[in-house]
Amino acid sequence: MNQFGLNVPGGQMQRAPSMNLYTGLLALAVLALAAACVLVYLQNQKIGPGGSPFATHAYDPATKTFKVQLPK
Amino acid sequence: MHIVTKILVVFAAVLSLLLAALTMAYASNADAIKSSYSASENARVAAQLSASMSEQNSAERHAKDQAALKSLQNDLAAKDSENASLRAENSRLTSEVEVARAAEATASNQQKSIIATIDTQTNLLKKYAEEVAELRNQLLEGSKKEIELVDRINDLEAAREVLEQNLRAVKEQLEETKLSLQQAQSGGTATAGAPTIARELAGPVVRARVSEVMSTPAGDMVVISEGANRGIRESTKMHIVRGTQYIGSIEISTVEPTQSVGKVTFISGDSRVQKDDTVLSRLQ
Repeated sequence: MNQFGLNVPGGQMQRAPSMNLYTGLLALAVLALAAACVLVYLQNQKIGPGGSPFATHAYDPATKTFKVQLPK
Repeated sequence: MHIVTKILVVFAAVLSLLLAALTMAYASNADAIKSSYSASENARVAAQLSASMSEQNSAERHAKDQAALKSLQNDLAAKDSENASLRAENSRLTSEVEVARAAEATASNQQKSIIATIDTQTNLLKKYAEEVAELRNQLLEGSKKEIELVDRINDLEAAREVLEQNLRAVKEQLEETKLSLQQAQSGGTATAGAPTIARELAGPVVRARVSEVMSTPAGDMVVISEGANRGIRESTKMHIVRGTQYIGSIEISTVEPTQSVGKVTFISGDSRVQKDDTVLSRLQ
């Protein structure tokens, strides 16, 4: 019931969690990951087949070479 | 844990997954591009080598082509000069052909005129042959007539000679008769078997030629070209002359119709009787 602000007998006093140092470090990591994702996404658009950042170049087992199709 | 922290954890997880996916794709593509770049680099090196070899070959070929070009240019120049000389020769031959055609035309005309001349001369020759044949026939007829006339003349000549011989014989008989009469008048008698006295022929002078001279032990004997046909008889005295020179005298010993044989009875000086000397029955 403490969520209603009611203190009942026998009940332990519940305290609300607060942001601490780890929250800040985690936010910093999230920012760094987001920046890295954007950067890698942009670079991957340059070298991906057809400009697709998540696709990979196909491998030809007959010639044992990749069929590289760079974006125009 | 604070709600913000939770949200950040979720974001961090999602971003981590996203970054992992992007990183793997990036790594794969980078590896593909790197291997493709290596293959392209190898191909480029090979292409450069091939290009350098091709360049060398093309340079050699270019040099050969240049040499061939120079040779062809020289040949072309030679051919040009030869062409010029051939053109000059052609023009000269063309002019010669024209001259030859003119000469041919002239020769053709001459041939036509010669053929016409030959035809005319052939006709003339035919006429001449006909005339010659006719003249030969006439000549043959004339010869036949001449032969007949000669035969007749010979017959008449023979008859005349016979008459002359008869006349001569009559004259000799007359002379003998006169001689006998003179001897009888002189009182002498003719002795039978006495040697005959050589005497000259009476009548016209008989002329003959010495045809042969023979030396015998009894003396020189002479064959003359006349005989009994001209009235010559045995013991007839004849004289030998050479031109106007008197050579000697002979006495006929043998008589034949066309020749006689006589013995040389007198020689004038150192003269000798020779062949073809003239024999006369009487000196004129």
